[in-house]
Formats: sequence, structure tokens, C-alpha cells
Amino acid sequence: MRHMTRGLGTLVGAVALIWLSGCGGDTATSPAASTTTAVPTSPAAVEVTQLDIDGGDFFFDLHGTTTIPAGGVDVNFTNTGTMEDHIIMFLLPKSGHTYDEVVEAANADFTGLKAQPLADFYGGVNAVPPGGSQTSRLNLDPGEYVVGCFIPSQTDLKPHSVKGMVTKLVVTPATEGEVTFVEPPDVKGTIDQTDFAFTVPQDFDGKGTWKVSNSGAQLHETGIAKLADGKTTSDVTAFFAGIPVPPAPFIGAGGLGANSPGKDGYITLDLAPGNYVFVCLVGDPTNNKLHIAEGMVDSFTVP
Amino acid sequence: MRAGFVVGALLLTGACSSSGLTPPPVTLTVRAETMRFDRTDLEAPAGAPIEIVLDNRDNTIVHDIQVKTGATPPPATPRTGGPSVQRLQLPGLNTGTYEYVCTLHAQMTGKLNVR
Repeated sequence: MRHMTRGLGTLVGAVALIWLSGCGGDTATSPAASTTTAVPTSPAAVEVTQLDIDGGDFFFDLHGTTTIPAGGVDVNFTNTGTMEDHIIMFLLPKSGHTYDEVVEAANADFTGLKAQPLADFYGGVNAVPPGGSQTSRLNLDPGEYVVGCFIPSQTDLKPHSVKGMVTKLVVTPATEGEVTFVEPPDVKGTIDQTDFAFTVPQDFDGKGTWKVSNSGAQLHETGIAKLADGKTTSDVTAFFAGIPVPPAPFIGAGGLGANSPGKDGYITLDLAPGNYVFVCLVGDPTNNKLHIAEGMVDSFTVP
Repeated sequence: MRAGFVVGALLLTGACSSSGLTPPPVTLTVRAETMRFDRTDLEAPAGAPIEIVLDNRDNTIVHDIQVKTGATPPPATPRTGGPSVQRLQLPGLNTGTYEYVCTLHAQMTGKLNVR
């Protein structure tokens, strides 16, 4: 069983969306052993860490992995819970700030407004429903990351991190001069996040691997949500206009977790037919509005 | 007189070590609360059976405690949500320092010092 491995770069690998869906049990299965597989490399080869993470109700299981090397990492995330959607985000405390400070700030505000001054955001896997999974390729710098799910729970609006979904991941420096990142193969196009819109390729079809860039000046996320039957983008916007009251007019379908300006990530999708939205629920520090309220929502259909 | 006292002391010491008798078991309690272990330095005598009691007071939050003794897999309590109490039995360990962790929360660590 592979949980954390270094594979060749040719292997393919949020601030939270509030997907409101119950509250969970309190037991989990015993841990599986983690392994590291040595992969033969040539001088030109770039390795990408394969990091398998399960998200239950309410914990992350990294299968014993606590340290990975800097550079490319395929985050293979599966929601093994049964109650609520989960995300996984990677926050690196800025110089002068600590892991604990970032956790406290993120716990206090799902929009990221309090955490933004304290941490850089490196993306992740946006909300996936129970049983769902997605891979994101990230490029992680060295440091001690806060790995968390900050979705507010349906039952009490407390973020999942407060219920146990937060842990630490240490990323060690690469050897000087080492090339540590390569984009996944067969990238079909780029979804660009700006202040405050998504620019999506016309041939976007919800399948395959897509680059997600943040060319804006603010933190953004690319949440993907599948609309419930009969619901529209307006329903999603209205849902987040106040305190969200379940049921939500959508379910999570993945995407990229919040990434700071200038940072990229890659998402590999296999969306079922249906109507979807891209949505960003990050808070705008200039006016405290959610980005969705500033127009950062866009619809698409998977035929 | 002094010589006799020293001899007696050596005999007492020998009763616990060189004679091969196992030191009495020790129980160490660690509380998990607010996503932290309350104790991050535990002490135990070499060779003594150890019982670690994990008192998980984090309501609904799932924790365990795993001790990296060198065994494969490392001994660990079941993962359970709080409030709950789990007990982990360890055989006598050699002198050394052993890390213990919550396998779901990498920020929760401590050291078991066996002397």
C-alpha cells in the first residue's frame, strides 16, 4: 500500500466552501503503515511525492507521514467520512508567525480573513463529498504547514478543524540546485483566478487535468459545486448572502483549495454530467465581503 | 559498620536489576485536551512493564497514542473520540528515549524517557 512515495514527475497525480451535509461518528480504523518507495531517477528526472490522505469525520489520516521533501506533491485526497464534505488545505505560516497562531486564526474565520495576514496558502483539494476523491498537484516550499479543513459543520457551524481536522506536515528543503517540480502531463488548459472572476477555457469539460492560477492580488480558491436539480447560480449566491441554512443548493465536487497570489496548482477532474459552478468563498480584506458576493461565481455544464 | 551498610544497599539494588527480577509495572497517564497532550515528557524505569493511559477529553475529537518503540507496527491505542479512556500495555523497554504521537495530529507529540 502506497501512502507517501516519491514518483517520477510523469505520474499524474479553500478557504472552505460550506457544503452543508450532519455530524459524524467518533471512531476510526487503526492506522496503516506508511511506506516510502525509492524510485530510480536519472539526473533529468523530477520526482513528485505521492501523498495519500483520508479525511474522515473529523480527522485527517496521513497514514503515518509527517515529513515530505519540498517540491511537487500529488495530494490524493479521499473523503472517507459519511456525514459532511471535506477539504484539505495547506497553509504555511509567514515569517514571524507560528503554526499555533495560524490554526487559531483559521479556526476563528472560515473565510480566511484572519489567517490571510499570517500565512501563505498553497492550495489543496477543495470540497469533496463523502466517498469522493480528487488529486491536486501542489508545489510546496519548505516549512511546517497547517493542514486543515475549515468548513463549518452543518450542526453547529464550528469549523471541522476545531473538531480534529487539522494536523502538521513538515516539508524539508530540497538539495541546492535540485529541480523539484514539474507540471502534470496532459494539462488541458488554465483556469485563472482574478479579482474577482474566473477565466475558464471555452473547452473546459470537467475532465482531465487543469492548471489553476491566481493572477489576482488577493487570495482565491476554485471550489467546484454540482448544483442540485432545479437550482441555479443565483441560488448559490443567495445561499451565501447570509448565514447559510441547510440544505445547500449544491454538493461539493472538488477544485483547488485557496492559493495565494502568484501560486498555481493542478486539479485532475472526472465530473459527472450535470450543472456546476465555480465559486470562491474567500473573504475580501478590503471590505469583508465574500468573493462570491463580488461576482466570483461562474456556471458550467458537463454534458 | 559502614561497610555493612554499603553491602546491604548493594543487595537491595541487586534485587531489582542484576538478579533478573522485573521492576514493578508503572502506569503513566496522558491527557489529550484542546488538541494537545498535557504531558510531553514521561519517565519509566528500564525493564518495567508500562501501561499508558490515554485520557481523551477532547469532546468528539478522535485521538490515539502510538509509541515508537521500534516494533512494527508501533504499539498504539485504538482511535476513539473523546471523552474516552484507552490503555496501552508496553513490555519493559531498554534505556532510551521513545517518541509518542497521536497519529492523526502530528502536532501532538511527547517523549518517553526510559532510564
